[in-house]
Amino acid sequence: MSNIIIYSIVILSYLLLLLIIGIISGRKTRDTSDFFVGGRNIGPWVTSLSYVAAYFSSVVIIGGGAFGWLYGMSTLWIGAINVLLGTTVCWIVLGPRMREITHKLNVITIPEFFKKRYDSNFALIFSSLVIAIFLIVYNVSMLKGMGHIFEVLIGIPYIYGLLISSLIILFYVSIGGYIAVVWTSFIQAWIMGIGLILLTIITLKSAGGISNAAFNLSAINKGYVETPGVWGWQGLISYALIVSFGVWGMPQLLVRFYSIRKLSFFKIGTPIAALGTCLALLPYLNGAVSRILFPNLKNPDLAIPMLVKTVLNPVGSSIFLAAVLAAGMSTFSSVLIIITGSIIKDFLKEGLKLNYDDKRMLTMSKIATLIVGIISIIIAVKPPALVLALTAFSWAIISCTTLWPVLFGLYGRWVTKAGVISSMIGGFTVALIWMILKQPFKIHGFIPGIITGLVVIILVSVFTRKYDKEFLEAIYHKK
Amino acid sequence: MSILDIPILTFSAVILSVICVIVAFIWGVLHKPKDKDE
Repeated sequence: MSNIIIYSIVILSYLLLLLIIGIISGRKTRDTSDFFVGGRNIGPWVTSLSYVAAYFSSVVIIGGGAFGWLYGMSTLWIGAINVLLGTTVCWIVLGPRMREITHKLNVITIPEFFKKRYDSNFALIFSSLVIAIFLIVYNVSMLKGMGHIFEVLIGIPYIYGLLISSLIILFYVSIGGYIAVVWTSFIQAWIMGIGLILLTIITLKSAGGISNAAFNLSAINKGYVETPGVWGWQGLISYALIVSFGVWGMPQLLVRFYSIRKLSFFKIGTPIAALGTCLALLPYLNGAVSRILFPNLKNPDLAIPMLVKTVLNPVGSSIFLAAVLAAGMSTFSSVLIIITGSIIKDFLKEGLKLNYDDKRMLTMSKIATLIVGIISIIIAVKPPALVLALTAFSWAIISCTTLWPVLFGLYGRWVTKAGVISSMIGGFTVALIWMILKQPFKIHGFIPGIITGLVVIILVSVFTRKYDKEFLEAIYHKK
Repeated sequence: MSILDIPILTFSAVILSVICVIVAFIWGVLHKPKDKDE
């Protein structure tokens, strides 16, 4: 059987499965609560594994391999800090508390949480606009990644790869909403796991085992097996913290916490999510080992695709292609539903007070999903230079705007309305300006943005009027 | 050659990940949430 037929069978079966999930989910989606948070009725396995799938985009798999190839085995620490901060601590600190308070306030989006927790329409409108605009930019990078994966791995032109993957996602998200997103992400997490584990086993076998791989890498340069190695502490730690702590403000991940059916589900969900996130170590390991096989790559982004082509047979390659696609699709779909929520639920309904009934809102949400998706596709066909420049920073700008208001919204009774609004504007502005200035001192914009947000929220809250005790009691008091 | 041919500081990344999963599991066992809305 020729390679292209094997690829086609595996990929078409995978895409067909996604379409079926979309149709089934569509039948279960009856109102906006179902569309945006699955009626808050999602189980622990689906919640945790869909979190893992949304956390890791195809950019992480391909980019993680590139980092591994460039800097060696010390990059395993990025995956380890993902497991520690990005999942374990995040789930323990934010998860149950967020589920509890969002239920009490009866909110289903992050901007809506800001509005009710801080009694601020400005916080709602500002955050919903930042989320909608910068997540569209973030989505463009997901789409680009998927288009390029088809191009590099099976030689299909970029535009066809882009259209195949994105139109399928648009179909199932606009029909099935959040239920389709989490169930497809759940399946995608398994496919990612199988693909990454398969690639790792065969790569290590090709390299003569982990010890031999370490020995041979060490022979090239000791810095490729040591920590911090050729990267150095500053680069390694700052990057690991950015991609781990930054997710604490990302709405497409936080939504998992308020859509889970029961508080007790966190008991099961947290260890599953932590275990699933361990997959994050594998792209870095594969990338590092690939340097033994390809010491002279011109583009480090080709480390994983080259590895796949070299060590896997066509069946293995097609499974891995499905895995990388799954990573991109799960992130894209999770982000798409959040953008729609920000536009329809937060900006139009809560912000501009459009009083439509729920059935009409549901129809509008489905149409908005299609429109946002099509806009993302059009931009991704030939992204303008500005959008390309923003893609690497878009998530950081969102996180700098939302992270502290989320964290202090759950734990900080002393935080004031002026403090939160100033922190949102300050974090957003500094991260954006840092990006425009092209990263002064080679520091990622997330770091100055998040530090500004923290300093501002503390300082302004100290000197401005606190919330009434009755107001806070209504939010925090345990019945 | 054993797996520890990888420098211990690098291998600690794997150890940390395993510890995190164990801690998450223990937290899950000890955590006593009250589902009020059922």
